[in-house]
Amino acid sequence: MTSFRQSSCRIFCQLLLCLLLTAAIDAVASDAVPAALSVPPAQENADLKRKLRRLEHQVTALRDELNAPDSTQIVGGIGYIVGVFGIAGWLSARKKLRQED
Amino acid sequence: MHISDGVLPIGVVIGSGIASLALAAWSVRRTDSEDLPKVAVVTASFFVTSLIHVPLGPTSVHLLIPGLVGILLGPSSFLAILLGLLLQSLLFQFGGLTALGANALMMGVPALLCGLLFNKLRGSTQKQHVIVGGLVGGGGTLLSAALLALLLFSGGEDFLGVAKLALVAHLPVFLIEGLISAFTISFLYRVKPELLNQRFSALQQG
Repeated sequence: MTSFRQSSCRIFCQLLLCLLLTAAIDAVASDAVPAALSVPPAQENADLKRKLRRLEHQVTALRDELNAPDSTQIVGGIGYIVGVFGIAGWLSARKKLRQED
Repeated sequence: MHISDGVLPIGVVIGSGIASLALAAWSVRRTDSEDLPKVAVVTASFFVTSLIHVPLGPTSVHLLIPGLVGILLGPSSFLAILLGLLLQSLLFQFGGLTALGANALMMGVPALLCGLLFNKLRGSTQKQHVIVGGLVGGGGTLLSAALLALLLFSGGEDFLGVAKLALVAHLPVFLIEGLISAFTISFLYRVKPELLNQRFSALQQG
């Protein structure tokens, strides 16, 4: 269940990333055609680099977000811990009661 | 501060697995059934604490609290840490299952040492409790970082480089953990001092 949700989430994010990238490339390309006459190549390169860096930042942010534990899992983990110690306590209490009998 | 799957050589993986199993068994035998609720609460705190990431500069850090766990639980702390790490690796893929032994040693051994140290040095006044608690709380994380460097060194990394990196990256964490431990202990000393009594001296078996 969890892994399915994670994988579907991952696929969604990859799709989003592809869209972002193509959009960025389109934007750069459409910028570049009319600008090619007036903007020198060095300037254009710098612009591209800046845009690429912004995209890289977005990718890392997205990856961090994907790796962050969500609250249901945290609460679930606490439930596991309480459950395990509950069972341990129940078993030891049962043992103690048997010894008293 | 987690070691991932496949970083350590197979010998170290097996060795640390066996060592942490043995320590866990010892820890279980030393845990009194009366203490189970306390162990459960501290385990849950340990589990949650390392999930809360605080952004700090370019990276994010999270608390580890091995020292505080050791102070509160004594011999039971290894059990608490092993369980917390097991759930973290199962639910969140923090460190893999094969590295669980190494991770448990990295956090659990400092916890045991901190518990022992706190028990020896804590004295009877609140001031001494707070000072010792703060130092031990910060020191536990320091020791964890050193063990991390040692374990990665066995995997072929450059020991001093990793140690330096782990120390610098966790410098704020040491300070914050020291403060949090000191604060927690001063609070517990005033409100429920019997929580600070561990069972290192008395042999209590289920």
